[in-house]
Amino acid sequence: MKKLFYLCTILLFSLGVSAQTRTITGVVKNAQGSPVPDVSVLVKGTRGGTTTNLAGSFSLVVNVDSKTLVFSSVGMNTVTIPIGSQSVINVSLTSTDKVLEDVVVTGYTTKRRTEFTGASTKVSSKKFEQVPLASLEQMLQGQAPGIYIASGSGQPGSTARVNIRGVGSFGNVNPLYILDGIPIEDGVFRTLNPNDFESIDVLKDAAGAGLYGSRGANGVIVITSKKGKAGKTLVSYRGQTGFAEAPSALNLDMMNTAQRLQYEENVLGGPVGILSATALSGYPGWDYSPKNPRFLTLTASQRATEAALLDSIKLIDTDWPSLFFRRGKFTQHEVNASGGGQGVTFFTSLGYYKQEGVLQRSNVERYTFRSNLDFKTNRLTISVRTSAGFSKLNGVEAEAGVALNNPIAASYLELPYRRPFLTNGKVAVGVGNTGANAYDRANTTTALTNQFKGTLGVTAQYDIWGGISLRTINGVDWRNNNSSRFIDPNSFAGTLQLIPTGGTVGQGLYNEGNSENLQLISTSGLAFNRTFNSKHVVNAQAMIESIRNRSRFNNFTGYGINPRLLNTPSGITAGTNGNNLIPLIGGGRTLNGLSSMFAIADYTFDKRITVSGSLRRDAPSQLPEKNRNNVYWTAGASWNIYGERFMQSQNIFQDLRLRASYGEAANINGLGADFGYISTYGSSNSAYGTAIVPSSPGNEDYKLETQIIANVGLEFGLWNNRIRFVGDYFQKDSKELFVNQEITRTSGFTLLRTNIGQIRNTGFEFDLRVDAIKTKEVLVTIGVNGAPLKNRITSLGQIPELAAGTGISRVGLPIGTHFTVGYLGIDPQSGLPVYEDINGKPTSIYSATNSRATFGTFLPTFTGGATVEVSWKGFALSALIYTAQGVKRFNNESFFYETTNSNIAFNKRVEMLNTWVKPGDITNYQRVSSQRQFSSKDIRDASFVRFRNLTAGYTFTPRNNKYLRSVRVWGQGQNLYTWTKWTGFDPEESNNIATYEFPNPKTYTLGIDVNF
Amino acid sequence: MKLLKKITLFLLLAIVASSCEKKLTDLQPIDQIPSQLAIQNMADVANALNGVYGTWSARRSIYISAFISDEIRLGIGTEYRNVGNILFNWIHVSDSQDWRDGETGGTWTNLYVVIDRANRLLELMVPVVPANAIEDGLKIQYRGELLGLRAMAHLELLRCFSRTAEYNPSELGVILQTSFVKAPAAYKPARNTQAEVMASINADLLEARGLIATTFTNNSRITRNAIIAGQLRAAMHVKNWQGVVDRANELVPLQPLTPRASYAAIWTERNLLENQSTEVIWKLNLNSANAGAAIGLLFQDGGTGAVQASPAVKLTSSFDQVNDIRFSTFFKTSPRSLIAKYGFFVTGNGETFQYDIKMIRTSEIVLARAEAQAELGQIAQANSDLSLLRTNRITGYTHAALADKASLITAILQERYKELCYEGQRYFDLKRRSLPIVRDIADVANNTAIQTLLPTDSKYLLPVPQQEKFANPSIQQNPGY
Repeated sequence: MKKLFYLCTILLFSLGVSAQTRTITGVVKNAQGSPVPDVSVLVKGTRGGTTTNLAGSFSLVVNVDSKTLVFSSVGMNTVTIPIGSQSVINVSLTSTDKVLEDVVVTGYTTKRRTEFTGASTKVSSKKFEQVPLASLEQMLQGQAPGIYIASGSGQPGSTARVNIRGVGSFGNVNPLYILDGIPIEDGVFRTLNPNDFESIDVLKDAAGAGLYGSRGANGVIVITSKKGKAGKTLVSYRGQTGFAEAPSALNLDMMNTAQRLQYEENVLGGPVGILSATALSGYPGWDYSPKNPRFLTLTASQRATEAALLDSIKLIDTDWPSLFFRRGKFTQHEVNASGGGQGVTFFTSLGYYKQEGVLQRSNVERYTFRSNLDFKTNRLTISVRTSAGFSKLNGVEAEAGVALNNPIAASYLELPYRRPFLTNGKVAVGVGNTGANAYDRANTTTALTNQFKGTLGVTAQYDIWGGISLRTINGVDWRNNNSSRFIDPNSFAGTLQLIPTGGTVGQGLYNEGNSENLQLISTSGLAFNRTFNSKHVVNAQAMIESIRNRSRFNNFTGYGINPRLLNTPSGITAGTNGNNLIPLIGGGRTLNGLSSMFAIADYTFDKRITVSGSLRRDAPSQLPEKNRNNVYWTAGASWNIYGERFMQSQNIFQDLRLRASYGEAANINGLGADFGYISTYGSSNSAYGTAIVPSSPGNEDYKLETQIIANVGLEFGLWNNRIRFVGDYFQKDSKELFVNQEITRTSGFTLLRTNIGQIRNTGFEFDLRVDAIKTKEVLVTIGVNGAPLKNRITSLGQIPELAAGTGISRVGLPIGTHFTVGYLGIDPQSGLPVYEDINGKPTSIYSATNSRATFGTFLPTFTGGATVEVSWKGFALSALIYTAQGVKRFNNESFFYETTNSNIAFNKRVEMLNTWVKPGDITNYQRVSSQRQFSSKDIRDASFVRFRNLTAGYTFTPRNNKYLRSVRVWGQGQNLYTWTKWTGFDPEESNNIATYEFPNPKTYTLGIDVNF
Repeated sequence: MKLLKKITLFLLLAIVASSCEKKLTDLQPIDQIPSQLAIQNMADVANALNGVYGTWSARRSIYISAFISDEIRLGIGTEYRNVGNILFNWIHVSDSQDWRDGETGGTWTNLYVVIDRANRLLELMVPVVPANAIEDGLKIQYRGELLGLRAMAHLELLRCFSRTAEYNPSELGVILQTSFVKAPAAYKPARNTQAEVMASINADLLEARGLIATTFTNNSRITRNAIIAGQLRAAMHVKNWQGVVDRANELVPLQPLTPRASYAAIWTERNLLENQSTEVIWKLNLNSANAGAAIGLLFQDGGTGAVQASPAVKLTSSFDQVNDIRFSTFFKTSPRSLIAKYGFFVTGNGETFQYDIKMIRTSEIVLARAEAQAELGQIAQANSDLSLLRTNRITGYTHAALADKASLITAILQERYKELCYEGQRYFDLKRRSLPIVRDIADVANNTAIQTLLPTDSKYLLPVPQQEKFANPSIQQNPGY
């Protein structure tokens, strides 16, 4: 067997040898003088070549007429050396910043981009380091085509919606996150320091995400943390400071005092108004108006008094938003050190991050630590990745709630002639004092979450023989949230606090809860990596993987807080049947497991043709045993056309590659509950003592939501690679999707989760980068990426449609389609709204049965980004613009500031001065007291273009300084400008309805990086 | 060789790992109990039976009866949150929130959940082996209670949702559900006839009667007395007047009327003793565990006392306000007019409304007997029962006998209106006799359009909830919806 192998090898080698040859040898080293293995050494213009060995040396037989050698390696600048008459050529390669563009990290494999068959985008640390956001997924916005990131909250530390290639489920479509080979909990990133990461690979299709089988359907985000390089120990300090500004409301002006009084006088009062013309209504604009018939009944002195009252009211003009919003301070410090030698490298960092939100009280504070170690001996490689962090997040009251406690709602809705403070300086709290009450709550309540997060991953590889190695990856991801909430019993809010059993008004409350999530993974098996005769590259692995996920939570809420024992559980009054201050206690725990086996293989021929494939069996605990045997496969191919002989005669392309992949994956997130398939009994709170009741109908036919994804991609480089293009077309068919099917009430349940839905996403993604100016000193790179997407529900089983509130799921329509009654305008004669009937014809009658699904969806049909990067000597400037188009959202906010029949005690937008008051008025605001209904009037265009980031910096590199390598000073602006038709603070949101969300702020920072 | 060892070791590891699959994936829920494992001994049966009792939300029937009929006036001003205004204004449709799951209504859903939970337990308890003689007896009794609950729930559904106001054996009733649904996605049942449902109710009650011993006297649960009362209600519904008299004759001596002196205590005691010392034949427990199910919260908000419904003038003005113990017990006139049958909130009293819900009382039985006797032409006996009740409620009452059947029946119905107000009876009393709902002008804020609802009006019947229709295309809707 061994002999046969040698024979083959000799034969293969001999093919490359011709008559007129000579041998060139040499050693390749890096800038630090260490030998570099695996460097490709090629004769320019031919495909003849070799690679360096572990000692960095090579030996190559070349034709005598060969003129030039090309040395290239992943992460290194390519060097071209004329051969001349030399027979020994020693080369020093320097590493390149483009390092990361060259490999695709899938978590299971690391591939050269040219040999990867799938669609993926790499985002390098340069793009997300120092961005003033605590949660890393938000930083991917605009950086990768086909990934939709929507930040629903400007609360520091909040997480965003992340959809890769559209929504392919009615349930959870969060992608899978892998950090250094270890899966980490989605949506929990604020306690990780993004500055510790080297790169993020977004895997979008079967060839990448498909490797993860049952976890891969929503795409995979693979994060690689930094590691040290052998050589001198490098120490860096990085810091930045700045502030966040509240955005101003877009396309929306609320009334000031003069306008409000005018509105009360002419609209709320007046001939068609609803305010009393005989008695005081509580609305001074009308009450004290000479237009009020009541005025005629007054004596001269009464008139003078009222005029004086009105004058004093006119002097009050509270700018409520400016009271709630503030300038939020921002600070970040970080020290890291890296280096190594003798087979050991390390990277370690300490980080501190503090960001105040633009609303009172809101902030996040974070401490992070990371230590990455790599050991390498002759055969054994061990990588240890450790991180630990703690963060503390202060939230605002009733965030994103249609509630007057929500400071955003209060800032819109409170009247400008109300005062926030009494003359004694105290906050003017009281029944109906919307603004002051909300303002007071910021100081008399808390909503705090402390988060601990730790990750540990150990990867070990032992090279056995001939490219075969044993590999094992083991890791832990752990997170604990401790949340607490307190309402001061001495405050106005505290005195209003209700207790759950009804009855007496309580004295504040105290709530505390813990939730914990623990995920363990172990992946072990054999890997095979070998290059035969420089032409045949084979990578393969066969692995067994086990994943265990455990979570638990508990919480309690106590009432009757002792006014001297604040913000502590010890202040809670013990509950009795008499006082009814019975604390609420909750909690639970659950777990799941996933057992997998998989094989991944690819083969590259002559750097031109790559085929790849994978086969995986996943057995998740969340399914009935009969459905646990899930097998998924993927296949891919890539053709490096540029490497073909016939391309050598052309001068147009410097890179040209075609690839395709196909395969099946599943969405394990879609299962929802861990034991949803089991019919169960659960504990019940009953007046009959200990009780159990059926808690889930179960479904013995539970299956995984599956997905077939096909992808075709084209990549090319033109103009000496100054134009680089990556384009992908995909079709993603998701099927067996869970739908909450309504079932007959005689079953004892109302809904059954059944696998009956189907959704298709198709789309195109492009990423174009052009080095518009490229000289020795100046580089200007312009990048544009975008992804038009078409999303359709293709089946709902036997069910024609599912209506849920203001949305509908219907075959043929996209996910997130709005469903409401059409609105046409205001009838100038009657001042009443004109709606559309079921056929779109005008009607004055509002009926929910006329609801139609023709008003769009809240999920964008196009997302994209544009970047400009300029470097000139030590100066660097970069800009990012992001857009989401085709977004329609339900504006629940406008329902309040544009209503005319109720809510008159709330402030209105300025345009409401044009409310219909007499026949012939052409307006968009119906007459006072007519019923305001939810209609298509409230569905607004939330598409936007946002100037997301601008960073400018200068790097100073002292010559011959022993201690200081470089200093960079820089400044940046985040969310500088937004172009949108949306009315409100922020069009960007993660769901279908605007409910006074915390807007994304504008942030300005200045920073310094010092490298020692 | 060393290498071979390593590979062998690894392969061994791989085998161990794959055998770990079972351990990794064969998991049982921690927070829930799989249904097959839930009922293993008599304690489990007892807990699940507690669950069935706890499921029945009687306030839903009480809400419908009070708001659609002439028992209340709606709240006014800013404190009124539009509670019940759809039903009160007779503008209800099949998807009004009054029938939706989780809202103030939901009678249909709630009662079928009761039936389903009873059906499940009836089936799951079969294999349970009692540990001793006491448990032998309990197993029999529990079955009786479950059959009783199932029958009572079906009867309540029939009263609410039948296609006709009065009992009509061949017309559509409701879905008869006597086993638990194993394949809910495919189950699309049609409505049974009223006769079919009644037959099942009677059979369940008859069997239950034989299973529950007279020594079991916990009136928070289905006792033998409650079963007899159920039989009486069933007989009443089909106008089997002799049956009503027979059942009442059995039951009244077992649990006589509570006299006037101790009558108020039935209503002011939050949690009555769980025995048959009062006239309460069946009640549902209410305490802080199910505080939200309190009846009083239908009429006044907890914590603030905001009035959502106050007593109808028509009702309050029908009482002898001085001598009738019921007037001072059921209503509060100062500082404002309030329904006080299940507690009332005025500033400072911290009312939580946590009072047991009376499901059947002897007063109803006595009045039912009076009505049946009148129907049977037993005028003297009917007068005697009417007098018996009033004597136990009104100080110094002297009965002036009514001579004819018609005026007797009118008087008895009026007495039911007064005695059983806010107990979920009024609407059904009118319905089973196809009588119009007639309100006082004072109770409708001068809106004459909602003063009279004739039995011929489609709003007189309740619709099958749209959610059922949506899930189950086989179901037939009531006319007009």
